[in-house]
Amino acid sequence: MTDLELENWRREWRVKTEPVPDLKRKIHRQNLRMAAAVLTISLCLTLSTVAAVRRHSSFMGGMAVGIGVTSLLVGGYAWWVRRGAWKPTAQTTLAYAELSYKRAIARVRTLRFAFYFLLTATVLFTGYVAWNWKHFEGRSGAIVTFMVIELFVFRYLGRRKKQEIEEMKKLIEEVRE
Amino acid sequence: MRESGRDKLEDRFNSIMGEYGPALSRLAWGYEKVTNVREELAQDIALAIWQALPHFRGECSERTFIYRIAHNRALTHICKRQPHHQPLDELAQPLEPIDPRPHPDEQVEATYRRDRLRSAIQGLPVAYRQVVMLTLEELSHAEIAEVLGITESNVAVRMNRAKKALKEAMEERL
Repeated sequence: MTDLELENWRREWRVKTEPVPDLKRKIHRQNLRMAAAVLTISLCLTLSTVAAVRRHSSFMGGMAVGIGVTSLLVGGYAWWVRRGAWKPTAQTTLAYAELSYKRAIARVRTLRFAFYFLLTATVLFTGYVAWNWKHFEGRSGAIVTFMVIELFVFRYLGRRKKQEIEEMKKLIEEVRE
Repeated sequence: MRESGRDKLEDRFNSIMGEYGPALSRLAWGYEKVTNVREELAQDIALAIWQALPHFRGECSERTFIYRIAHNRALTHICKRQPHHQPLDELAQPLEPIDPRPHPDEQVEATYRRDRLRSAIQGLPVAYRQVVMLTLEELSHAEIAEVLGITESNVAVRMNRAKKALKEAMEERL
């Protein structure tokens, strides 16, 4: 193998390059997603709180408390499990790979926590609805359905993250080689 | 009127993208075969640079800083990517618009050679792929060592092995 070969590869590698796509699109989309998430949680919390106060509705009050407690608990847990995974220990490829690995594990733990938390809430709420079946309302059924769908979503996301962790392990081994 | 910090940052970012944009685009090629996903990766890399730029204190050269961020972002991308996104035996991308050159056969041949090289690089283990791509971008061993956080002798060893692996991969694709 000669340096001439390397030079040829270099020439072929550098010939004709696609332009980098517009970054503004990406930032805009990312901001929108973040804003939508914050807005949805805030809106649910505000609406249920206002409705609870105005109508003296225990149902809406319960929902407001539920959303608030869930956000605090899951958010707090997510923050707690991510300790030590805020920044890389060094500016190296290996350190970044390890950081991504730690973060992926933190996300899996958060998803698992959210899943079991929601599962408990679903069981309790379904029990409550069944106990008061004489006063059954459509919205209670809709909430149970929504909770069950969310459980499946958490399960699916958890599996995807586990795949990510496997990929990470392979990558770390490759980089350590 | 005094230029605000944000304007300065934007100017700096734009000049970086002007200078390194093509290299970053090629780097995305090394990590992702699928066109749409590659565009997304290139945007992610640019975004990571934009976010990291205010924290750059000049501890290393700007070039090293940019490549380090880009490679680390691409690394995260590989782990997040779902396997079905990029099967190794995926068919080559359709030929891109061809630049004006004397003979169509030559153009096809050049495109074929380039695609073969890109495909061979994509198939290398990450540790080799990074060293090869940075070498092809004309970074010195010292700069590569700084980007990847390894020693210069380690770079040389990896490069030797990577060259052999790349040569074999190219021959397999003949």
